[in-house]
Amino acid sequence: MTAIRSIAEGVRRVARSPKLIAGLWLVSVAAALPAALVMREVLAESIGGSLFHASLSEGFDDDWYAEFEAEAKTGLARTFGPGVIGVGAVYDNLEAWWSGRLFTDFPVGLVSLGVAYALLWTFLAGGVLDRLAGHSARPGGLAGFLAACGRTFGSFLLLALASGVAYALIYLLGRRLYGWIEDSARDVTSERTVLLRVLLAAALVVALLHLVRMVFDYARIAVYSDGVSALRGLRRGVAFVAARPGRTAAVYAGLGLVALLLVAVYAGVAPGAGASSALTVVLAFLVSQLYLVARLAVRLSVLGAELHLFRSS
Amino acid sequence: MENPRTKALVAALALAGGAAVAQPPPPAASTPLSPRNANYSIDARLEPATRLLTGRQVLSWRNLRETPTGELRFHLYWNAFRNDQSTWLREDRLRGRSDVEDPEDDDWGYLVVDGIRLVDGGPAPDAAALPSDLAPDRLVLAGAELPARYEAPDDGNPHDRTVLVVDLPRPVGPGETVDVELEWRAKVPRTFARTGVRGEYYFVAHWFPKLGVYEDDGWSCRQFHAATEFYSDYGSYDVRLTLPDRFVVGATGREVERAAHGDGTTTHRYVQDDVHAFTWTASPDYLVREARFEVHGLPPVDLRLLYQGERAHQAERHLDATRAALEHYGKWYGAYPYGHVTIVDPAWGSGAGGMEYPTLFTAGTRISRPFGGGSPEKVTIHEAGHQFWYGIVGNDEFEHAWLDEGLNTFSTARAYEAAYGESRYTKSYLDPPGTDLGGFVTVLFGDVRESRAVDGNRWGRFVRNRAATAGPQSDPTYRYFPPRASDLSYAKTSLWLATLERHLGWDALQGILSTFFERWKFRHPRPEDFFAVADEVAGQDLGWFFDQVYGSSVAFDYAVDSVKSSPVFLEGFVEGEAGELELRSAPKDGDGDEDDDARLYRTEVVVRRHGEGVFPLELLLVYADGRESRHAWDGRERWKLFVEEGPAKLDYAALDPERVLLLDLDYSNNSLLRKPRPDFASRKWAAAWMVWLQDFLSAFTFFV
Repeated sequence: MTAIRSIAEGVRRVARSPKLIAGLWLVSVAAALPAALVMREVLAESIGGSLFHASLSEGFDDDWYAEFEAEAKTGLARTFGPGVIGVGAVYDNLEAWWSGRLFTDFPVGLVSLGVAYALLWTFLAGGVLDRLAGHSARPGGLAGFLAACGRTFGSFLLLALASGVAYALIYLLGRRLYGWIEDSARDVTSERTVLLRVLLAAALVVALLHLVRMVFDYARIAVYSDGVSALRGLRRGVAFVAARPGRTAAVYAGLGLVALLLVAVYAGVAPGAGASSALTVVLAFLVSQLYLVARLAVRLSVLGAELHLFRSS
Repeated sequence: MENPRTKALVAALALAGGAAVAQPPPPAASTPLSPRNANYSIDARLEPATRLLTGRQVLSWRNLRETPTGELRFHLYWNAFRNDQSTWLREDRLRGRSDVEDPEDDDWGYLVVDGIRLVDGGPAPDAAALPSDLAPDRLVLAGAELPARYEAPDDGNPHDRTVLVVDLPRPVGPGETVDVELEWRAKVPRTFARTGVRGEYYFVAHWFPKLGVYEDDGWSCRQFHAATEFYSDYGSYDVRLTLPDRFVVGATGREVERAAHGDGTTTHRYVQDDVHAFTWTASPDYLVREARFEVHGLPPVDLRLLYQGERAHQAERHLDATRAALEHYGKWYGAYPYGHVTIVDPAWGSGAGGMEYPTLFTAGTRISRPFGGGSPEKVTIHEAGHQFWYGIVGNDEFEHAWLDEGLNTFSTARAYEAAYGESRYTKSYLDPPGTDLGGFVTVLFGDVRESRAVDGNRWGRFVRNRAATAGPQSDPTYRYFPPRASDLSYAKTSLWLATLERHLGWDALQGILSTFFERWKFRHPRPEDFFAVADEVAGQDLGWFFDQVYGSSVAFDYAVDSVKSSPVFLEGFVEGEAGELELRSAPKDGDGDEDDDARLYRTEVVVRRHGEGVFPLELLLVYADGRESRHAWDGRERWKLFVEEGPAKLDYAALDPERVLLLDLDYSNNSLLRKPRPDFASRKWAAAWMVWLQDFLSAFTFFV
């Protein structure tokens, strides 16, 4: 029951923090917009004065894309393709995340942007926790938010570096496992057999990623709540999860299921290639942004629930 | 070159009078469709524990040429997988496509001829003609009836043992027949490409000593190359395969006899006339589904599908795609004559997929392949289509692979579209990093259509790999740069055939292809034979086209360079609407919207030829009032100015608006709007990409 209560509390805290969600969403828009403008230029240059503008306005033109792909010179241009359409964007990034290709298979510029974005989140995490904790005694507004960010940034940065090492090791373990599966499948003629092994290995990797993430979530919460150092926070995070494996996992997995459900819903309503008027393009964009906001809310709900669980234990 | 003497296998053979001796092929019962001048009777036994294949064969070969020959040349294809210095593996390393990246000891294979002799009925051995002083590079085979040696006619590679030359004691004259008996053994390789073993899955192709083709200018018996396939004469095959009972077997031809020996082995006898190869496959895991192709106007065909249990849900799709190929190729080119075909859905990871053999072919798929994405339908149609282009029309794939691969790629795209419409884009996920396992889950993007012209004919690969300038197609295929070979053979041909289809019309091209098929079925056509048929059927000399697309490596790129519409004014006194004289002067800005009230506009369009290739094109001019005008351009000049006057400004100009010239490397520049409007489309797609980027960035926040 404690887990369910924590989840409910996490959701409630997020629900009463619309400015927080809006702010973080605006951060994501601001981070992506410059690159999107560059991409717009790249696309506009490729389309130029050609008649492809008409077919691309109506839908996706694979003939144009064959040419665009063949001529794509910059790393940025190479990330554009039919795979980014609708829920494909989510699948693409999920694939990049679980496999670790997020760091290896994309242009250096985009990966750098991603790392910078993660650092920004590291900075913002203190303020986010502060808002989710609902400290009415502290000054509100942006100044209060930023002050909370500043208080924890140093420790959170250390935690981020430590977790980065852990994540890297997990991805390396994954590579070893997949390589071993491939080697051990030299004489296997059933795809299903290999798929099962891959699924087991991937599940292990994903579970470890989530475990580390969960431990470091509690470490950050400990740093924020108890004002301890990063190292002490990490110890408390580990101890907290170790002492309450069922409840911490239930909170995490419960909201994880909500996130998966969200992806499933988005797969059903995600806009395709067919938007052909300014109105439908805007609507398609808004639907996608709504999904991103919803996922952000789920992400914050996890933090809120963990914060509640930590403080109520 | 190593001294083959030291490597020669000299086990003596008791070939005469042995009960196990393979018999010469029985007289063919059916009406010959082909010359049947290379007939094989083969007994082979597989020992799965050691992966050894032993065989005896009698080859009966008739010289169809006007000149005698004093030798026989055999392909020993599996020696391409004998060691890492074979020509095949040297070339394949350039392509990086082998299914075995780091071979283990047990992966290598070989094919060794242990004995060879003439069988009664051939030219009488002339002892005096046997060389008494054998050169060091001559391999004296067991039995010593015939001296033989390895040769590497294409590159002189001393490590390549894929061509065996056997000296005859007396020349075989025109029309004469020679019967030769060979005893051989082979180690089945791991599948480096298309043939071999994985676990207990065997796909056994090009596995026995196979005679080359004797032509007017001598033997055509090339080494095995990474980017080329095969070439053989037609004949009758009578093959008896002995292997453990547990194996389900499929092979070229029909199984006419099956005999269990009571020792855990069974002999399967397959017979087929009028083919130029014999391939078989065996696995304990095959499931079998049988069906029939029946379409009015075409002979019925029995379909036998060997498939994997885990892909039973795709079995009917394989059969349907095969039917589509038999129907459309049959109606377009000519009927499939054999009455049966075996479709193989190869085991996962076997590397045997996507390959054609007479009356048997492999498709290739994975568990997750949503319908509409083109797989396994396209590969099934393609390999079934090779029954026509390669199987029935038997060109030399060493020298002119484009004649079957190109014609078939074009035909595949056409047949797929006729049967299924446009395919949809797919993308595979759950692809473990650092491996070649590939994605296990495929998602169909239902609103991203792939076109026949561009996707089906592989335009993207052609452009991306700069294949247009990779060398002339007229070079022998085995001399193509291996990484670009398939682009030249498959994509370039397919694109220029599609160009011809659009230039001449489908009826004309279909006439060309069906005439070529009818005239050259069960024969060995050369490129000039195809071009002659094309000229004849089209009723025009198409040399200007073939000289460019086949005989050279010119690139095609036409563009609309500039468009301009300016108001046309008569300066000075002109008659007004009421007939009175009025003084008019030309506006200073000649192309602004401010002069939309002008009555007459002069439109100037400059078109350019950026590439060396020349092709006649049409220029379409579309005006703001909807009016269109079309202009023919022979495409020869480097640039040309088109001028028109009319009551409206130009909206856009499109050069080759129907995209006839599919070889054009840049079609974006073939059209130009007077007022470019890329904004909407670029914003729309940049917005979609931005969502992807936001999601991409949020993935990074997982880690903090």
